[in-house]
Amino acid sequence: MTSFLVESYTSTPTALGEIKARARQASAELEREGTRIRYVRSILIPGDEICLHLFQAPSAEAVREVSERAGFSAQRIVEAVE
Amino acid sequence: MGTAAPAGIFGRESQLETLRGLPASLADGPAALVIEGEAGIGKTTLWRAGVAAARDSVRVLVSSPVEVEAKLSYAALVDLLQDVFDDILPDLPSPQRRALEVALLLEEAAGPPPDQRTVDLAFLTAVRTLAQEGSVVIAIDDVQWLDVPSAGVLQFAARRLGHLQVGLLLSRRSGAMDAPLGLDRALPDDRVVRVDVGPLSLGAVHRLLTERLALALSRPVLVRVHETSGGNPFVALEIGRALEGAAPSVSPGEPLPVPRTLEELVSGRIAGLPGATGEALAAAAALSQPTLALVGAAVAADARPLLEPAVEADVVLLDSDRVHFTHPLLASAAYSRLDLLDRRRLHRRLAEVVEDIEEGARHLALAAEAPDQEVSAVLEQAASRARKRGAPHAAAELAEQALHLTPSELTDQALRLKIQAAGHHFEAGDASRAQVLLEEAVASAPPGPRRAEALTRLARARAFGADLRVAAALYGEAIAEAADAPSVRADAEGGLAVAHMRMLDDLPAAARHAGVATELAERCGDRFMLAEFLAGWSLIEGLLGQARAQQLMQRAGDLDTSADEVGVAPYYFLRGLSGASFMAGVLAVWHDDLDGARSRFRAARERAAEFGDEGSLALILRWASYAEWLLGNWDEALRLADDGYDAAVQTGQPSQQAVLAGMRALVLAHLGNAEGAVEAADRALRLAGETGAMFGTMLGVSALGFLQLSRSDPFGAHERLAPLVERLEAAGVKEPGAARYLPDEIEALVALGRLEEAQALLNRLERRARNLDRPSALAAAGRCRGLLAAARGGPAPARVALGEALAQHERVSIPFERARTLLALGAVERRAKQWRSARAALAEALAVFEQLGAELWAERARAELARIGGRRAAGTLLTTTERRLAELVAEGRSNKEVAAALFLTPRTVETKLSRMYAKLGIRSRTELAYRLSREDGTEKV
Repeated sequence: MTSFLVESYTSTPTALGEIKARARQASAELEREGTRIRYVRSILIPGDEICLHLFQAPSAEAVREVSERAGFSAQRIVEAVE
Repeated sequence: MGTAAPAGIFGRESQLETLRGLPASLADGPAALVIEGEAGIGKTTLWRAGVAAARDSVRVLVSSPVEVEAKLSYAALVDLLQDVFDDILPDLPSPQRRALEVALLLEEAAGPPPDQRTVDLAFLTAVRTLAQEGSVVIAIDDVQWLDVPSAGVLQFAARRLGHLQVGLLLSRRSGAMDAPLGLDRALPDDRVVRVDVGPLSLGAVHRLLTERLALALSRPVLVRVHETSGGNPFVALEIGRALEGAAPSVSPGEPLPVPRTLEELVSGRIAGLPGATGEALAAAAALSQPTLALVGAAVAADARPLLEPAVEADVVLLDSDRVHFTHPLLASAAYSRLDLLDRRRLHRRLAEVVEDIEEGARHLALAAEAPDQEVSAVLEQAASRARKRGAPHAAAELAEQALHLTPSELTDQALRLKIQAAGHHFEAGDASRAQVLLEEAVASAPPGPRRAEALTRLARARAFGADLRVAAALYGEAIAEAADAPSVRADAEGGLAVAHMRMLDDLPAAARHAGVATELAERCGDRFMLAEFLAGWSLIEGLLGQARAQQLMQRAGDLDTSADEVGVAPYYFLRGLSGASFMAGVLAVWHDDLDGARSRFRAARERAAEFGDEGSLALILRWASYAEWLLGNWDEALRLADDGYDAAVQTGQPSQQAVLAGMRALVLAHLGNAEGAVEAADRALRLAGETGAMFGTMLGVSALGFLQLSRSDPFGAHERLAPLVERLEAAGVKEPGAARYLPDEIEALVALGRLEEAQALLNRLERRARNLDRPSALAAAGRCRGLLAAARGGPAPARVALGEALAQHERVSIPFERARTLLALGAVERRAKQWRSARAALAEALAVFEQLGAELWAERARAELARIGGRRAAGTLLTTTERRLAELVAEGRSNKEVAAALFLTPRTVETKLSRMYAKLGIRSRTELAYRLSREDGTEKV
């Protein structure tokens, strides 16, 4: 599994708690459907209206899928090393 | 979770929420939202979202002016109203309907041009009509580019929205301090909300670039783009586009490989297009209504294929056959890329292809390299047309351009255009620019009718506000030079006549000039001029005490220049006064027809308000105040005088301020407010001194003289009034109704024991009063005769004279005057030891003085009463009023009921009761009832 960083546009005000909850929920859903995906964490940068999410997944596609389900407007998905 | 933003908008959630709230907020009354931000920040996008949201629930009138339209009069108004004409036109009164149709070019201008104020009012009426069916939002994007007349219309309407459910949704480039359209004065602060549109966040910029350009930038580049663009979406997109073409990656620490400035960015976008496309774009940018047909005609080719590349590059979009730039900055870039020669060529071509005369003229002006007689002629024609449809602002600009392009040898034409332009500026409300032009004309013109014309216009401007003496001199000069030009001479003669009248220095001369003016106006066949001069002449003859004043006024009225028609006469910025109806009101005041005067003034006030004619309002209110003062409604008179003063200040008429301040002084003097009266009188005298407005002096001095008389200081009164009497006699004032200070001077002289002088003045007064059969003057004369007789020792002749005076008072109701006569009678009877008659007269006088609020005179009446038989004990006879009051109280009525029955205030009733108790030495209502029963039938001393 590779680590991926997602940069998503997050308009203020959105609570970090809510973001995490959605990420967890979406990951769980995908797991149930058979995709291996693990949600690591989210970091919100309110001034930039950007949230960074870290996932571990087999492919960028999977990360794109989980981001969509979680309602994140993913602008970039890049490989990362954690 | 909040509601989703419309597609493509993000980073603006809070602003969107505010915008969405506008329709609902209208339930509480009018409101305005002003979206502000720098160019390219996304105001229009937000504004459009606001419009879309509003359209869900209310009616929205929309206009998005572009820079090039800013010169076209009423362009925005056309936009706003074009979808609702059928809904509003039927409900408009016909003058307003006509004005709107002509101004908006729905109808050809035939006949007098619509008054800008009528157009203002037409729009307001239209909005009111629409608001009856439901809330209305008026939405204007880029309000800084509204054409001036439309802005004026909206400003007028904004101040008069009252409680209508009308909202304004405006966007504006930031930079200006004041609220647009005068909103800070039109609506309460909490109803005007600024929606600031600031820079986008890093994330929002990234999203913008991803969605619009499918650009996914690395973080460092993104950060750099965000910094360079300052969060401005337009700039960010331009940089993004430039980046697409450049190298895909950028090393950190290196500057972005794109042009630095916004201008270069935008210019670069257009430079990337084929040359022919660029030409077509320039044409589109220069046209106010760029259609494919017009653009094609301008470049002599089929526009659609030419513009394809521009559409592809997202520079313009085509909406049926209209060409729209996707952003105004692109339009200005397209135009600026042309060099001067190419621009001129373009405008020359556009002048040929556009249909509208005014727009064509403007292009011709822009195409001209050097003064050119033909171009100047076209511009003049366009100016005239602009004026005809009620757009004096545009007319002024076009006339000045015509002037600018007139070849220098054609001095007379240049002069003519200069004078014309000044006139347009006046009509557009810019008096100072007008005066500058006129002064230039006067300075540079050779003596002759043209110079006379300029002099006359300049004089009119000066007479309007500042200095009547200067105006008179200018008129005089104009008359000398006008020799062969009858209408110019008529104007100057008429102006001089009015100036003399207002200065009250030589009325016979004024009459002569008025006569000449009238004759010349008749010869010219100018009905409007004729009506104005006849009315003015009538007033002059009125002041001279001539009976023909009435006939002259009748002739003026018969010419019936109705409200619809007034306006053809040039530079008529005081339309409200020109109605013969108003001037007839003034004559009516002098002739003691006070009710007639009052209704005329009311009508004049309404008309001035309807037309927004604040210039005339000052003078109308002065006369309305005078009428109310005579009729005894002093609080109302004071209010009108103060309102009139404000109107005079607002419209820059210090000469009228003088008169209104004098009016205030007069009313306050009568109310016994010495301090206030003196302050106002001093102000009046100072301003009158500065401007030559003699009526101000007259009212101020009258007030001061009267005040001294009220304080039983006849010497002080005489000191002030004698010079006034002399001055106005010398001027030729013989109408007693215009010289109501004369009886005061006579009374002062009598009090000083200078009986011969008093008699001389009285003879004069009486002779005139009899000749003209003026009831108020006959009454005052009778009173003076009575006082004189009493001073000479005989109560009998005094009684007779005062009785005659009272009879005259019955013919015209001026309560204060009647009370003064009663006071005089009471004093005479008291000295003749006729206690009962004295008391009756004095008590009645006192009651009237108290009711009017004439404190000082009430005191005098009380003092006289007190001198009658010192004993306050039983047997004091009650006055008629007191008796009635006592009767009602004895019946068991409450104070409130008594007040209602006698048309007094409960307060007055209480005061009278306590006085009565004191007089009679009692303490309760029961005692009063008992005393009353004893009083009946007994004649007590």
